[in-house]
Amino acid sequence: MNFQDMYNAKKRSPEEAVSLIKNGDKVFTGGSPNALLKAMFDLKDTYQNVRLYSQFGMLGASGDAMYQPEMTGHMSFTCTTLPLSSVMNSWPNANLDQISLSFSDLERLIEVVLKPDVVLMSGCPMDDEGFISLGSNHGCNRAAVDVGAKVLIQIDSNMYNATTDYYRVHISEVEALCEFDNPIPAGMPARPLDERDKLIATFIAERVANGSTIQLGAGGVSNAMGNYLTEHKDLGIHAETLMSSLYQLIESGVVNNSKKPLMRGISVAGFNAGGTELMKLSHNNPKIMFKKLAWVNHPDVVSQIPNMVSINACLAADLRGQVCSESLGMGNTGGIGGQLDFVEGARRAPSGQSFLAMHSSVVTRKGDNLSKITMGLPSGSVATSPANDVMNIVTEYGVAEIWCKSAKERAKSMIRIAHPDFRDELTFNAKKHGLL
Amino acid sequence: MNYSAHYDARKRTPEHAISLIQNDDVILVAGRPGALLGALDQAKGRFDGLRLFSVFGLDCDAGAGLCSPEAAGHVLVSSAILSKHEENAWLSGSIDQAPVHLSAVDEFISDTCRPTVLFVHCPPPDDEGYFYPGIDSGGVFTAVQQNARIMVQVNPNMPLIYSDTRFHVTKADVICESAEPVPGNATADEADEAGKAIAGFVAELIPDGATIQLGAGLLPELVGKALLGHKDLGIHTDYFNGAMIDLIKKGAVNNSKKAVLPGVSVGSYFNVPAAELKFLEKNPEIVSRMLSWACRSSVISQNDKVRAVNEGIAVDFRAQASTCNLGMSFTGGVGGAFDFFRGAQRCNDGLSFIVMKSTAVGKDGAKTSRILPAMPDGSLVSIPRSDMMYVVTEYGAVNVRDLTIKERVRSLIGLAHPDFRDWLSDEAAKNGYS
Repeated sequence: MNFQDMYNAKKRSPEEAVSLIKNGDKVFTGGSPNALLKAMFDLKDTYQNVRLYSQFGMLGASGDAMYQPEMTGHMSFTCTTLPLSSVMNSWPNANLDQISLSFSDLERLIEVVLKPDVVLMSGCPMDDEGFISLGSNHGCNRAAVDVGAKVLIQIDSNMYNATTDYYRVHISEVEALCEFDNPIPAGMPARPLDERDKLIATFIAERVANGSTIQLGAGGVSNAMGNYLTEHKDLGIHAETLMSSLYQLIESGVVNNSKKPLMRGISVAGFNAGGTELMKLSHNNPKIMFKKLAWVNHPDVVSQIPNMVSINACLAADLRGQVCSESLGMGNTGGIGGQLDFVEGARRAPSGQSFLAMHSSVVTRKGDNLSKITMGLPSGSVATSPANDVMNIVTEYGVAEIWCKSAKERAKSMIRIAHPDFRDELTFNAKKHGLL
Repeated sequence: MNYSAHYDARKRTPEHAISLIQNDDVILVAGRPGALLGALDQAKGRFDGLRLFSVFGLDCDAGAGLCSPEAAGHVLVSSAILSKHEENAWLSGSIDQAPVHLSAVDEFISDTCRPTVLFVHCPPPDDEGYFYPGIDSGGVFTAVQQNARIMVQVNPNMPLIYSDTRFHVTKADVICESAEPVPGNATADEADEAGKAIAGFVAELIPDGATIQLGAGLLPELVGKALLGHKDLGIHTDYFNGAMIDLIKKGAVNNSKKAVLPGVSVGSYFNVPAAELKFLEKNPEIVSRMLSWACRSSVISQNDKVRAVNEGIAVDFRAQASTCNLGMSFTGGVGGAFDFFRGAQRCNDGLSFIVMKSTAVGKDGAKTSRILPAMPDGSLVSIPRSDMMYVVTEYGAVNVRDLTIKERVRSLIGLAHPDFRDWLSDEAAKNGYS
């Protein structure tokens, strides 16, 4: 049987495909197999105790369906990263749980612990050799295939492929496929740049040497960064996520990866969160390669890259230098992602630097201005990056270079980048606790 | 001139040594040399902001003086791990801390501390005239590399422990002789029932052939003592305690399965009973290595079956652990705990443990739970939730690594003292974690 015959023989409707899921199954999913997910949610009453797992929380229609009380008993959902926005007040929810790990550890979790029975995924049209690219927004589904999960795949002709040594399946590995084209994603709405983000990006860009390799996380600063590195030369990319602001740096040739010893000449990432422009750019592009997160994010790998620069957003920091990038207080949003992987990797890399950036204060809905730099992180907060790993914390007031600084020097430089309205109070408290 | 002529030519009194110290010197102190520190304590009034740094703190009589209110302003004392003297004096304004992992402490010394003088506590030099740094080699290698003026306190009671750090007598600027007792020598108290239970749980999870790290404190030492019946264990640790000597003597440790320095036990800071110091003396199977190597996760993870055991003071619902600071306190230090957690997590078949009794007793005698919904404002997270593995109390051991957060909360409540479980369950429900 040739590959096209194989393909035709495995073609099903979305409903037929998901009927292969059995009660009690563990189902891993990621990317955007929207037709399969919709079919599954439509059939929810026929399932009992189906456990759904994913790297990221569910948004949109899937999220709406998943968190309904009627879902209880039929399906539960566990992810590693909840959306940080308040748009989706998913937590707490009886059907929702979370596993908190670094992304360098995600594939191990799938392969060794979860061992899913089924994986729901989306892929590009099959190539002549029978391979289906999972694209650059692949949801880490490949790890489930490697441990024998039944592959149910939505073939989407609008999907862009990606150069990869990992994120693809062969038609012989597929259990059932359906053809369905998701609407072409509009791309991330370009949020207007905040003046504070521009300042922060300027401070960081000044500290990025030509020839550095960069990793950008999510957030406003990351979006601004692209505009402030345009005069740089010979930058490289080694990142968990391709973010949209990297597009212009790759297109303009600022990024050429010529100084990067690992995968020289090639931008390396785990997955794409940069929207359609970057997906298009990655399509059939041998200069952008997507590799397994267990390798990309491993601190022992990141630390091999001289002048590695990690730039991530955070929510709050304290005078010890502990940084919270997820849940402040007892709530539950976000997830660790790869922040600590890169914060550690960059710290250990020769001349490496990490930057954790935030606005110095935030205005609450009630109109109060709150400092994001506090004496101590509020009780219950997640310390995403522990004090001993953090190198630089950045606000619109400057960069607190706290790496290899004493506790008191740290406190001083943290107060210096706090919003001026709060510096007196921080100073008073720091004195009270022996930090000044 | 042979080396003994050098030795004699550089011999001075401790007072003379201190007279050579200038106010703008930065002194790296290793091994708590009592004579040198005592002379400095006597002369402290002469200084106005002289800086002292030690990796493990000045836990000795002279240290008490140098951290006392009378010393405040004259000497500024800093360490990576605060001893009781630094802790007590924290609010004096003259104490500081280096918040770095032990794997990074050499970088801190070379890039930030930049010592101009090294105080080091050594045994008499070997036959070829080399000094070895004794029970504490913390930072000595780096200070020597930085061309700090070397002031050696030579103590015949100090064992000569083979090390990657040694320097010739011709490099020593000043040599002082003092036959004081070697500091430390802590030994584990008798185990209570809770301690025995905790040690038992961990020992069951340590297979023959494992490579162990035991952090400071009573509970890790009890874990060590529970391994006497094991075989083929290896030692790769930052902190080397008395239980480890028992394990070597009993043959439970032979380092035969280690990939990194097979056949040899590795440590950096030796805290063993006085009677066992001789066992360390020129023992070819025990080596003291610099912290930036011994605590580097990529070195640790080359061994299989690493078992890292560190004492905690609290664990919250998210499974974040503090090993030293609850609230805005400044005590102890993270030390090498997270370095060894990382090494254990990344090696083949490794496990790491936070061990603690389920309750603490406050100054007012009130019992509090060490399993908490949340740690108080400002507490220091030593091990983040992304990297936590086993949490162990006298009520059991649970590997939280791959548990969901709701499962984590449930299992942590199971490790709490029964008196606190209802309260914890209520808090879990209230915050959406059940």
